Amino acid sequence: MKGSKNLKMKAARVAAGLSQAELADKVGVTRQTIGLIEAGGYNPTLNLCIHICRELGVTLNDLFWDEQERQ
Amino acid sequence: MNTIRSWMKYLEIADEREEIETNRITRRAFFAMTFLVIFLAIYLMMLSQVAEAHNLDLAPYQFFSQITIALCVIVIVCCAYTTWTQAKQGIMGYPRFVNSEKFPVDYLLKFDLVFSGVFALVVWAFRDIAEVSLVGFDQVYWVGNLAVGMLFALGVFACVILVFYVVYKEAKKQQAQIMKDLDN
Repeated sequence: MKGSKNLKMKAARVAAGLSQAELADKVGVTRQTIGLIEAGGYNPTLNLCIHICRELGVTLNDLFWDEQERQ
Repeated sequence: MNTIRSWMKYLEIADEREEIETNRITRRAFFAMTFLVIFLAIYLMMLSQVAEAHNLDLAPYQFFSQITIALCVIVIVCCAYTTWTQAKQGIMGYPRFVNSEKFPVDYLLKFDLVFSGVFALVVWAFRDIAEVSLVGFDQVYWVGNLAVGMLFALGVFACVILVFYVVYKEAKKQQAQIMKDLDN
């Protein structure tokens, strides 16, 4: 695993009522990629981050900014 | 045209993660293939030279054939293509070179010395193995083989410096061009 789990993204996806496969379909990637991002196994590019945020109706800060890690 | 276009859809990589992973795996395989072909070619060349040196009843180019030479040319062309195409985009790959304003001679000399030394040992080892397989352990020219290895290494030493310098200059030129275009 490359990083820590992205639980915020998982929560946002569930709140939006989307499965991993549905979100993957909307942003044009495979389901495995969404799964790996949530599990911390893949660092997405900024473009993909923006796509995901748009689909989930949240900001980049909401999903990808870790205040604790920054400190 | 439409058929080709729709067929190409099947060959598209699914997403950025798959592309990155595929590139990483392909790069690893490319390096492995390159080194293996070069090692094989060196061994075959040594086999031919040793057979000649011992006046064995073997056709001198029985092992190091035109097919082997063609394989080496293909490998060299592919390596030159990847290196030069990267340099043309201002990419040099190695951290010591990318952000260095001056050509890092000290670092390159150390790297080149180690690389050439390893190359000399590889040639020496392959030559010894080839000789043992042809004429047996007691007829091996140990010192002579080491001298041949060092001669090869001298050539490699010069080539490495030359190639790195030319690629560095081109990459730097392209990097400056990119910055100039961005400023405009």
